[in-house]
Amino acid sequence: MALTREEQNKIIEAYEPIVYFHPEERFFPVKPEAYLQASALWHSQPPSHKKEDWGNGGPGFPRTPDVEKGKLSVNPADDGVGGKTYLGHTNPDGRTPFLTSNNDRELWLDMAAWKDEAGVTDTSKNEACNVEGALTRWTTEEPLKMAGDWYYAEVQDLDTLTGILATLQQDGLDLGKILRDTLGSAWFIWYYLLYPIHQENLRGCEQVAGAGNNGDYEGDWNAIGIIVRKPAKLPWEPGGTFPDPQYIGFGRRARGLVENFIPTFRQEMQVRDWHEISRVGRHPKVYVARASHNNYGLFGPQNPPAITPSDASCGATEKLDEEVKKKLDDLQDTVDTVKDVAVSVLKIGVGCAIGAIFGGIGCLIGAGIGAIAAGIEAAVDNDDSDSKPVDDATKAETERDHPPDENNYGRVLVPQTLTATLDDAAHAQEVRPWAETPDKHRVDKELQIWWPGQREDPGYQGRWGVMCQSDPNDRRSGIVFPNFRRAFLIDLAIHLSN
Amino acid sequence: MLKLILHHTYKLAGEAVDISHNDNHGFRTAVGFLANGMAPASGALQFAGGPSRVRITNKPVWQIPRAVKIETWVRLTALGQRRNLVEGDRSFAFFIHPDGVLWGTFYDPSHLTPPTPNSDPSWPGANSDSLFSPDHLRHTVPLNVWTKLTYLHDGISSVRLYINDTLVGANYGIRASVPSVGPNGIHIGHWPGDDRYTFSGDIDEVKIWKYDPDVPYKQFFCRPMDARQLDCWRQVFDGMADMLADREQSQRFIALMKCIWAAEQELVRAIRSKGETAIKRTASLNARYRRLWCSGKIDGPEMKRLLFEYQRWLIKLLGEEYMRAYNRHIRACWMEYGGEQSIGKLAAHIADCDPDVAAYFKLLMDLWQPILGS
Repeated sequence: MALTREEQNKIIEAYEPIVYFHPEERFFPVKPEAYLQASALWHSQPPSHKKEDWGNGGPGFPRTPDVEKGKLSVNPADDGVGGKTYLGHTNPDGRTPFLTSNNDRELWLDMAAWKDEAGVTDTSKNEACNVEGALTRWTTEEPLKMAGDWYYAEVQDLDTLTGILATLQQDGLDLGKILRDTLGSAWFIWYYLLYPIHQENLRGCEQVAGAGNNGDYEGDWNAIGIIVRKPAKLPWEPGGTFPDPQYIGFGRRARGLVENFIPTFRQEMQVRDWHEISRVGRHPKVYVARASHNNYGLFGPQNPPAITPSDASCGATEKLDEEVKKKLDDLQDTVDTVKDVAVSVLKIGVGCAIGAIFGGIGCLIGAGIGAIAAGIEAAVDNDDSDSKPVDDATKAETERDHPPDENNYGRVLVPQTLTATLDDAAHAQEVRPWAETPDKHRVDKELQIWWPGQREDPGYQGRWGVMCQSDPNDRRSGIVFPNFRRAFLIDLAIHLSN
Repeated sequence: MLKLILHHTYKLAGEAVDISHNDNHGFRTAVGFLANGMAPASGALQFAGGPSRVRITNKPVWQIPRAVKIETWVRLTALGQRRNLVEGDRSFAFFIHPDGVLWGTFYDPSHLTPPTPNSDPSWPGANSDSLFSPDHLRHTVPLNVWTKLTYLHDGISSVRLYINDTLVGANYGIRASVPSVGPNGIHIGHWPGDDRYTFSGDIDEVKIWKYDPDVPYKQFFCRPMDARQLDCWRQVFDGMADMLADREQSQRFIALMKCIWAAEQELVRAIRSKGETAIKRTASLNARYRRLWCSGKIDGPEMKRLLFEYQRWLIKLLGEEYMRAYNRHIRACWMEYGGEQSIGKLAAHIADCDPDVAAYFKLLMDLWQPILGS
């Protein structure tokens, strides 16, 4: 039998997480409806997303959003009233233009515009989100100031996960059977957190001009997942109690470039056995990395998801990647060659240049010397060994994620019952309860239209932050709401297979 | 260099979960689950001939794999016919011959590689029979014993096969890389066509690697660089991007790269085709080179000593004349496609903004110029 709303509320409350932030953290989880209503809504044309096609206006510039800031509403009663537009507005032809986002027309929100520019004109760059502007809005604007310390949560069981389990079965995994066999009946609880800004340096590139903000984007979703085996006697029945969970998943992400120049956003949910993590009763302790908002079960520096080639070059090859990508469709063999030999050609070029400058031997002979350097490089590249990076403690340290160190916490968000009793409260800058009561935090897709849903009830499918120009690896443009449920189930399967 | 793209353990009730995070999960058909495989609770799949298989659908990651390495732990229970281990549709094949000999082949429809005896000319490779085994003895996969089997096509010059980590077959005369996997995807314990070559026995674990296409960048940029140095290289890469974007320049530029790539491939093939000792010695030098390059020690005495040893090794292995011919080949590419006017100009500022690299080239010049001459 499906869980009632009241039962879901009790489950959400029972496992509500304790979230520790770094002392230098500047962005905290906020209410999605406040975020949406403070944003403008735009559309653009994939895959190039050229600013000439953004929103309305034209021909030419300036471009204007489909829905201006302050005019978007998540309340259907507001539609068309006082210049407001309901996010789920339906056209006479049945289309939902502010929900439906696809490969023909992609939607995105603009909460704090772009760095150093608010509009989209012929001279505007629109290449990076506005970190400081976002901070100002969420710390000074009255409705936004009050919309913090928030999460939404939803509870599902195996019966309500059939859709996602069916898509996994299409990939070859019969996880439904496995989960039933190993857990019997279970509750899956997801706690979703939305941060106004995600900040991410290209790892190890902090000192490089222009690379420092290369991974920042607006509208940063993350999640914590918990799996609880359903007890024989339910907690709300006489004599029933909430059992300890079996597993917890910590959301973290990897953005960058994968094979054949396809940008990727990989949501991971690193799964841990419940007994491995710190907790207070049934409330898990979650340590959030500074700026990136990746979640960890441990304090102190942690290894983030795998580094991407774009990180490795501090963005130095992004423009070249973009040109190669353009030639991908009709010049596949050439693309392969370009990727392989670009560095070799450069080394020969350097040999040429150096030979001409101070070798006293001229470019051509210098190029010949460069050919030796290139030959060594090719021999190394074609080695049989693993391409994992060479161990370098210093470099590894700069590439790590930074949840708070032990006993040096910034803000800590806790269940209301723990506000006065948290064991390590003395080591925190502040301990605050989650805003409002747990029942207000339950995902209700009937009333909360922004959650991506099923085919008949799509929800908001667009991105949650500004689109950015010159972003070939899709690192700085906003993200869509990640498929945390799929990520959690796959990572659970990986955890159990390891 | 290789990167892991598939890792199945079959530990979770036999589910073919890819724990390498590449989403190469498998569809299982007519396979049983064995809780205890090569180790207690390790999990394994039971293949009983016929339709038994694990199929992985084709994805972008299987395009142009170039090099392929497969490791699998199996317990073979019956021969009598070819027993497939892992095969990529029209790409690579790893199997056991009816006589128990281990085979590793790949699809080479252009017949660039000389044919392998007793094999389809379009599928050359190596086997563990006496002709290809280092000790000239026939090696077979034992029955009813957990055995680790390895296939390695290095992408350029060799196919090597191992039983329990011992080299049992090698062909160093390979002339083509592993092509993209066809629409039927990858089959474990089964042939991509039909049921004729299905494995009989248990398979505990499968790992597959391919050539890492990002390795040139990873290797080049692993060196610690400051903002000025990186900006300096960014300008050069951006200049290359501009050349690619320019209709007239791009053809010439691509032709230059292809010409240089061909020369480099021949050099690497020449080294690796000399056999196991040459491959191992070169790998040892490469590992030292990587360590020095990635720690930024590119112009000091350690690098000088390494470059000297590398030079002595290449000359001993290939001869001075070979190195001069390679050099002439590259210089011919450079002249024919205007390297000096394009890349040479782009790189002109490198000596100023990245003096470490300039010093590294000076080391090379001092070593090689007397041999290469003018």
